[in-house]
Amino acid sequence: MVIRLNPSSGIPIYLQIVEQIRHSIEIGALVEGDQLPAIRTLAEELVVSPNTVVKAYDGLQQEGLIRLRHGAGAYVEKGDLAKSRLRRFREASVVVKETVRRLRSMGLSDDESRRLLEAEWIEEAATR
Amino acid sequence: MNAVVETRELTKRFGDNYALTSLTMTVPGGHIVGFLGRNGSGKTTTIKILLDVIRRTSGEATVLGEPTGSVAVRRRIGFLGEDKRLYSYMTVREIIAFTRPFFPTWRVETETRLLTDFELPLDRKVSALSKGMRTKVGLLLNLCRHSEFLILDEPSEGLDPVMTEQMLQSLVQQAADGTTIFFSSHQVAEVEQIADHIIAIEKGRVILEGSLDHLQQKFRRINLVFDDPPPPEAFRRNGVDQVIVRGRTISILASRDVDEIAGLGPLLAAKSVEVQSVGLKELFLEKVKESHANS
Amino acid sequence: MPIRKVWRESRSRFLFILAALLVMTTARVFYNSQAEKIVIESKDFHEAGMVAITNILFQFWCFSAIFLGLGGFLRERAVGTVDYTLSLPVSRTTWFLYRSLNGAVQSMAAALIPALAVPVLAALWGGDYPVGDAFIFGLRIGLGGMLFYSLGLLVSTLIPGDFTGAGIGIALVFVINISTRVVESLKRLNLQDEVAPKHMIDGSTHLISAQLPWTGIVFSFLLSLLLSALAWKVTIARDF
Repeated sequence: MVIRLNPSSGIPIYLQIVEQIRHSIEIGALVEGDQLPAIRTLAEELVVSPNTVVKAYDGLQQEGLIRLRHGAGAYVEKGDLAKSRLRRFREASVVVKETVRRLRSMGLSDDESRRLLEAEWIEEAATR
Repeated sequence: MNAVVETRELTKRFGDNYALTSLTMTVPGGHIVGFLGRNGSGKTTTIKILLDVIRRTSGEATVLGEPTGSVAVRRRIGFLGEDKRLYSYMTVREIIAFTRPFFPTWRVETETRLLTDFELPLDRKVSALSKGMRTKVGLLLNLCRHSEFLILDEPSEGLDPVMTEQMLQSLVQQAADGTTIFFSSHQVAEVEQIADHIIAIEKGRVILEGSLDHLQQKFRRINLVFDDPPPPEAFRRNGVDQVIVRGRTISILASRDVDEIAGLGPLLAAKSVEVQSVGLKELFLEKVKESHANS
Repeated sequence: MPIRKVWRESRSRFLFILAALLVMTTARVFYNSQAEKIVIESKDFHEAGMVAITNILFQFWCFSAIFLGLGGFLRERAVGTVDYTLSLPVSRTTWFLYRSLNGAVQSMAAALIPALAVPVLAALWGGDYPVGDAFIFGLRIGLGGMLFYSLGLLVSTLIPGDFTGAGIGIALVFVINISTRVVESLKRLNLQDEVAPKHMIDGSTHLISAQLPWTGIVFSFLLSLLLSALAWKVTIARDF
């Protein structure tokens, strides 16, 4: 698992870690049963605050992607939760591929499409 | 965890010059806290007051619950100054032997490990050490104490990138062991990397404070493009820190109601709505500007 | 240990001063310029010994005492180590006590050791000089002259920079010594006369003939305590 962080991006580091570990699980770089580095070890390796790693691991545990075993480390979760998320992502990427293809065929640039999407999410969030 | 430092209306005057003006801040325990500020903003003055090297003009300051000046508290804290100067006539061995007895929580295993890791020449005099070596000695003298609280003033000042990385790594190790770290810096990048809580000051006052994650998630830059931009006043409200007009784009820095503000875009016939995250540098610079405008 | 650091930082200065005073005292013993006598031939160490202690040793010792008072937090601030020292769990008062006591002991030693060298020199050359007299004179210089040491201590807490402090201290010594010699009303306070009051010393043997009065010495010593207390007050109050 290779994690590369961009501390100046404005995106909280713990979210970046969560995203990259999630991605590793999705592409199969990490599979169920794999042990993640200890909080301290990962913090030292990435040179970030241990609290940040704790937050990331907690977030991943809440998503059901990993399981923190008290005193015994963190493991990639085995079970349907992880699998179903993987499955959902695979299905979603098909939808996205199709949508992108269609938007492009309508003559929209990628930038325009992205803005449309963002505006839609914001509106969605505002009316929720 | 309890606060390790609390200041209330802390003021320090040097003649006519106010280095600190009603500085009120809390350093929460169990975190790596970045104390961010420009040169001359009052960072070193604050640290010196916490160590009782200089005395406050008015206001209050406590460290580990005790008023500054408590000798007993200094047994529980560590300090690495900006200059990283130590007694030049002592050898590395001597200065370690000199410092060790003051701290009951000193661990010899750490001393042995760091001497090897840092590759320190035990019999060389401090005066013959480079700044990088001196920093390592200074760090060792602090890390072996395993204190509850570690204060560093511009720790990466004068260090090359490799040494800086090593230093930041040892701070992370200490934090993992439970030490609260409080380091001052004028370099945003380094603060963004290892701090999980920040306190930013300008002209002796706090201008930004809080968990870094929280600040990063709170602030957003909203860029709205119009054919015919409405007046910027349309967007000024509570939670909006800055509204800039650049041609057809109105750029808004907001800390609240981001969705509502972005939603104004389509309502006012914006051609495009973009919401971006905001880095600490941008946030800090904006807050500095704000503080100057307000004073 | 704090005391070892304090000693270490004052060591070379003290040893240099001690060596210089020993050399000067020794030289003065062997050359008695007033009588143009060479002591080695006459083996009469009495006059030479007393003159060496109460003139040369006293005068140079007063200046040296100023130097022994220098140092402290202001110097550490100039060198850059004051933050480290003050961040240690040792109170300013403790540091001050260590420094002032270390310097006081050194000042006393710098008076006693050269003074006691005189009987040693006399014995080595086949003459004699009573150890008791040498000790008494040395003690009186050390105690009465502690005033100059305290002056150096006080100056070191007020003025940064060793040379400036030393310069001011030396100037003060000059002023004090000259004014107590020249100004009528102050003549009674002349320390040099207090150390070796002429009327208590036998004119021909140059030995102490009666009990020396201690009031002047004690008064001067108390004054030095006052100055030291002032130096302490400054130390605990100021910003570094």
